[in-house]
Amino acid sequence: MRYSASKKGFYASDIDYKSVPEDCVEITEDDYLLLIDGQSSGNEIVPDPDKPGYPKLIPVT
Amino acid sequence: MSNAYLSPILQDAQFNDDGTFLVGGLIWFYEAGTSTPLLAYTTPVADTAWTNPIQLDARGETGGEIWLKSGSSYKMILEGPPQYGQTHGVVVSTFDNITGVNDPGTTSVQNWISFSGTPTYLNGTSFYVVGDQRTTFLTGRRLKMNNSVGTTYYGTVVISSYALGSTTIVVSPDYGQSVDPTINALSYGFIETGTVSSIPVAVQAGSAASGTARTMWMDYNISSTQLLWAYDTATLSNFWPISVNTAVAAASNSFSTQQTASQGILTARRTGVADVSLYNDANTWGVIEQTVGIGIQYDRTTSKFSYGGFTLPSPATSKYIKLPNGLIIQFGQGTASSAGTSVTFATAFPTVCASVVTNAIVNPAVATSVNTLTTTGFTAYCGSTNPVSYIAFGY
Repeated sequence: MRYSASKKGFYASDIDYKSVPEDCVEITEDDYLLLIDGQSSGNEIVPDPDKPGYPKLIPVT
Repeated sequence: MSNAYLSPILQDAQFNDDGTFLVGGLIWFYEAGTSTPLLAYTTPVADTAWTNPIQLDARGETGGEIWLKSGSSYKMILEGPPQYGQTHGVVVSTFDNITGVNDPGTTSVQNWISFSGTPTYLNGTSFYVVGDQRTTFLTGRRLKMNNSVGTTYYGTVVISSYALGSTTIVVSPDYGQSVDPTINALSYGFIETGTVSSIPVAVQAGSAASGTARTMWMDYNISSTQLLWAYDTATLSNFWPISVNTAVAAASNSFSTQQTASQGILTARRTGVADVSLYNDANTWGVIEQTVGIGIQYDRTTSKFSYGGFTLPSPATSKYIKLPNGLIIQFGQGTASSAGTSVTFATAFPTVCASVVTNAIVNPAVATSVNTLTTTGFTAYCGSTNPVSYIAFGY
């Protein structure tokens, strides 16, 4: 699974994209599942300021 | 293989009734049983034909060798010398249905050797014969059996054992057949089995049109009665695992089959690429991409096709579904708030997200709305902070 911080989105490998954002980074399937599950339980997926290019979860207040 | 084979007759001197040479006698050649002339030859390559007829010389001989065309059956007529002005002389002898010596075009090898003894029925998978016949009924040898009404059926020797003056032969009958209670005649295959067999251990896979001919081996597990794989002895990596009646093999680059009482599955696998399975059971068949669980399925009870995910893996990879026409459906959960909370799709839409519908999960009294819809997600609003579920369509 790939993540783009500029587009704030995931790009799966089994979907045909004509192009993907240049800042896409590879994230593990486990991390991806954690993020999706986290979003389902009251969190927001946002770019991580401490680790540029990668996503993180923050609780919705 | 030669073009012609030596005639078994009329190669030597011929004689008159009084013992003198049949000088000037004639040998005519015809197709067997007819009066249609057929050429004989002077050499095994059949490049020079004899005159038809051959006229015998002063020693009563032809002066050469008579070779008969391969695959042809001849009628030969030996005549005395013709009267002046005549073509034929008095017929001395007629020989019909003559073929060249050892001509493979006219001889055939029998597949089956008739067994001289009489088999006696024991049960559906065995019979016995008198005497120690174990060297004939070798394990693996083919059997051809007849019953009292002349029906022929086939099987393979499983094992033969000798005791008390007779040999009991256990048979594995061919599919759908059995040893008949009225078995009364028996033949066995001319090819022996075991270490004395003439069957080559390795079977050459033909001669390559280009490249190198390869030898293929097959492995068979006797205890589990499974054909395991066939492989190339030159490059042992080029093997084709075949797994029957087992769980889908874990190897890369494999084909495997799985068979249960009601379902058959053929799975193709390639390193780094997910499995694709073709399956069928009593009412449906389909092809499915295993990891995402997307495929197409046909239901023969309703005669209708359907497509989509049939065996969705868990958990999150199931949150988007690709349809064959390119439409992508996504679903999942996020949070809506008064200030707006971003919800990220499970994967981006390649072109556009056409529509998103949200609904508050817990609180029945609140309305939710969507803004800032992009290919990668949207912003969910609600008067208060509430979990929402969404459905999104796009392509």
